[in-house]
Amino acid sequence: MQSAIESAIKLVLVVLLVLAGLGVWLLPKTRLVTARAVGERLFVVTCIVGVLCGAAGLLVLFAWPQRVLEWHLWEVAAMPLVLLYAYWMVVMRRARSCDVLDEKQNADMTSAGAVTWAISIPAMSLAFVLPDEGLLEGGLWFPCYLFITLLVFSATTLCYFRR
Amino acid sequence: MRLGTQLKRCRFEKGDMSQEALAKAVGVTRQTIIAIEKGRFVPSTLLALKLARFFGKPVEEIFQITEDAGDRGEGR
Repeated sequence: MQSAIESAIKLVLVVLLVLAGLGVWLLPKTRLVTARAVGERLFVVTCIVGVLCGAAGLLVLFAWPQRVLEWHLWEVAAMPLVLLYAYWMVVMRRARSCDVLDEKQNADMTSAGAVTWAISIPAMSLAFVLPDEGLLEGGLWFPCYLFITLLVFSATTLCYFRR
Repeated sequence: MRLGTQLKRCRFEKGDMSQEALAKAVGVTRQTIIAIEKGRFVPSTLLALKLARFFGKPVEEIFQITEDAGDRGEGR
């Protein structure tokens, strides 16, 4: 039963990744996507999805630490953001440029990156020092780090952008 | 020292132009225009020149250096 669940989740994830890859490859050649820059709405939605994915990832990590790797739950939690970034790549390919953000978006992401770096060090130190019950064992430190940084980065970028 | 701006006034002089329309005209997001007008974001030289060209004014008419009270004693 567990193996069937794991296989089903893995299959869905692989199908989504293949579809995203096909979308990045094919969509810029069609007229379905006209955007040539990451506009305000897409940028804000990406930040909000980043916050939600980060929170969801941490939630599954703390709620089902033993199932997170086995059932690919952390990949499931990160998938919406992966799909959104795939759309960013569609926009970049459509614009034939990597420069699809405006200068304030770039500056906000840079500042948020610095804040995230500063916060991730004490956060991960705390995670390693705290008496855990196998939470950070067996490779779980990576999704923990990923979702902490994702949550902080997305929330900080959104705050800077809306300021 | 801070960057003072007359961007809002320029918009109003150009037929009460919206921030959205100005942002679209110079290829940035509305949030960028809002942040520049509030003095929270200093635009690049390129964007300042784009704005100046759009309004048909010299850059100095749109952006100026304004001194804070604390800056006056700097040279002493």
